[in-house]
Amino acid sequence: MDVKPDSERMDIGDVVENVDTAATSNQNSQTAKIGDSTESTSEAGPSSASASEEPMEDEGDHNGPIVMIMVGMAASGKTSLTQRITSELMRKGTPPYIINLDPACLDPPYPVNIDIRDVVKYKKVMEVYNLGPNGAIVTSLNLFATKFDEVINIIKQKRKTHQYVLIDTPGQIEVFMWSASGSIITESLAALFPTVMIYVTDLISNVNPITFISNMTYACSMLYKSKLPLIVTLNKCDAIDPTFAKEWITDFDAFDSALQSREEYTSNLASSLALGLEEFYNKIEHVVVSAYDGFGMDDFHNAVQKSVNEYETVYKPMYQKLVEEKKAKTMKKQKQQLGKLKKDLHTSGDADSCFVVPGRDAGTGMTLRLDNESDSSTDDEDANVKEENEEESFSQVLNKEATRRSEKYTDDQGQGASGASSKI
Amino acid sequence: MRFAQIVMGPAGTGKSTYCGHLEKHAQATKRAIRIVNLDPAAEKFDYEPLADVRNLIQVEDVMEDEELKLGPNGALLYCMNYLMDNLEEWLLPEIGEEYDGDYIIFDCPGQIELYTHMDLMKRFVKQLDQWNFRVCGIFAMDAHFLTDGAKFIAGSLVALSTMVNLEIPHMNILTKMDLLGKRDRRNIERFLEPDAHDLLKEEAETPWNAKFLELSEALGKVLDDYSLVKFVPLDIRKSSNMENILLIADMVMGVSEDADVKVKDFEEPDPEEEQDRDLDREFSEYLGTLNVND
Ligand SMILES: Nc1nc2c(ncn2[C@@H]2O[C@H](COP(=O)(O)OP(=O)(O)OP(=O)(O)O)[C@@H](O)[C@H]2O)c(=O)[nH]1
Ligand SMILES: Nc1nc2c(ncn2[C@@H]2O[C@H](COP(=O)(O)OP(=O)(O)OP(=O)(O)O)[C@@H](O)[C@H]2O)c(=O)[nH]1
Ligand SMILES: [Mg+2]
Ligand SMILES: [Mg+2]
Repeated sequence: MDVKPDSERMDIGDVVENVDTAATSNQNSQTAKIGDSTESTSEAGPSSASASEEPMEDEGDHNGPIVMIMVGMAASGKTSLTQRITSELMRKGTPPYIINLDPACLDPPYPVNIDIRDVVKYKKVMEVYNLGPNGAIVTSLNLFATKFDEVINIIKQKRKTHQYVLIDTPGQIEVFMWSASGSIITESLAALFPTVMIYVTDLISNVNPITFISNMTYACSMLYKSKLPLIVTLNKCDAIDPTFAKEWITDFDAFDSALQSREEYTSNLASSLALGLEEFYNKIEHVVVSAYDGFGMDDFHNAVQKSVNEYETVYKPMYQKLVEEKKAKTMKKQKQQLGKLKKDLHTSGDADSCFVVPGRDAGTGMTLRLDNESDSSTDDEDANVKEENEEESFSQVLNKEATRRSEKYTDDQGQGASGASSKI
Repeated sequence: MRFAQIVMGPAGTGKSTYCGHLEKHAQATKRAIRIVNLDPAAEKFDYEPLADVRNLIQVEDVMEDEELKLGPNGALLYCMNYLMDNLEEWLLPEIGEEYDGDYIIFDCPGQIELYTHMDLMKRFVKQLDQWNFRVCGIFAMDAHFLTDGAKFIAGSLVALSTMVNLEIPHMNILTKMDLLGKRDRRNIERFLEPDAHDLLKEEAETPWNAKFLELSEALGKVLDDYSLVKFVPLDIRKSSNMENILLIADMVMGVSEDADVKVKDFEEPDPEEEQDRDLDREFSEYLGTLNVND
């Protein structure tokens, strides 16, 4: 394992507290990038500084783009719905900024702006860490999370041009909901932007009342886990009449009698849960949609709007209070978490080799390396300037791929009758 | 009568680690407990499996299959389906005949869809029942993610979303306790009390808590009614933790009706903080709620 002692030290220790070491980044040959060298070597600094220190300055500045995080069980239709929402938003003249967090997906049917697959090599992760398919998804997401502050910076920049950010997540819902990286990603977004969780669930499998209650219980757990506005999105209504689900949500007795008709289930846990969840149904937005034919998209957008308002009144104050009360503590904890993540990634494998390597895969300047975090700058003005550079450089990396995809997407659009049907 | 634990929980929470330590603990305490790996995507584990599903089918092979064209998720489901179709032919011969004190731990994959959307695991549980097994579900959750009352509710709900499908008695275990600092550990201890009702009481009055107050209370009630023990800590360095889990599982399955081993306290250095819960009584009440007929 060729972890540089220097970078190792930085990773364990307080990466960000080392504020005066901007110049030291030159020690790492890996920081070399195409383009102006003085400029690029200092780029990595502000990103890490911003993750831990800037949120204070951003406090109250929440009018960034609306972030929708698409979460759901495997094959519920997250990707299709992302595509549908995208084409709706494009039609309205407000194209979203799209981030794909599924390292193992096939080419998604929408134009991706930031793709985890351009940053982390999933197959390489399997090799380097000697992991199976699932472990590799977890680790890829961890690697990406160590770079998420850079993504945040980019989103900040997109404030002016984009009203929406869409985030597609891996099929394994647990990997996103119950992992350190999932928390880091969700929390850092929610801290800065109005963020809404879109829980996508598949109506077809929900005809079984047990699956239905199981799904709703899971959705409710997401509410408690993230404390973010949640929209339960019942997808695929083109394939099945959604009346049953609407009834079950509004009428406990309707659900219970459906349940009683299933003889294979004998315990009354399901109906107790249904009773317990009545209050959940009352408080949470739920919409019936079809990613295929676009049904329900107006309802969906209304729900998003309501949720954003809720974010402002319910979530934002909570976050601000958190910031006031445990400012230092929370930040430190996040930093520790990130530091630990990095350390683990380094000690259990050659983390660097899993990132797309500058000049080989992406062919552009690349700041995304674990060990660049060490350099930081306190000078705010300076930081802002650099932040922009940073953004440029990070975009450069992703640009090539993004352009390729969006060209491909436009082609697809041209061929298919509609965006939604072209790829599905 | 045979006995089994089905070990479930999100990816990387420590299911296989628990199984490995349980094996060692069993050897040390001379209990015949054997482990079966049912995760076709398992990378490594440090126990000697009695049977290993990877000898039947492997996720990698399925993923590489040119015709199937499956991603990690689809491939796993494919494997599990294949396993369920081969329980009689493959698994039964592997685990052999029933004998006295027969006790098997099944180390399962983490994907929640297996439990919520497919009847795969339900089929498995039914099959075990036919094979004369009594079953206890073990749901493993990483203690790092359960640092406050709301997250405890979240974790309990994830477990219930699984258990509502399987209809087996279960307990949640809190893994990686050894990695927590003292303060976090103290914090978590507060949530190990029997009353889920109070989970959110101590939290600050935020607009969020106010908005969902009624929901939290309703859920707290469901959790109280349906869990014998909501969370049992697992610090893998402490054999007392392992013993505690085994004991509760024994009671759940009725391994020995006159279990005379005492439940050990989880913080060993704190002898005065005795766990004076009447687990036997709680257990019978719990069974009542489950309609388990012995
Ligand atoms: N009938 C119908 N099928 C849909 C709809 N949305 C998605 N599907 C189908 O459901 C399957 C899964 O869709 P995806 O969009 O890939 O779902 P996903 O949640 O991104 O899947 P993973 O990323 O693998 O977890 C595909 O076969 C889609 O064609 C819909 O609105 N109606
Ligand atoms: N210190 C400590 N580490 C643990 C504990 N449990 C698990 N780990 C570590 O966490 C990682 C994942 O543990 P596993 O036991 O493989 O988790 P799993 O739930 O079987 O994972 P999957 O089968 O991939 O879903 C390993 O690196 C373990 O060493 C624990 O109680 N304490
Ligand atoms: Mg997808
Ligand atoms: Mg395992």
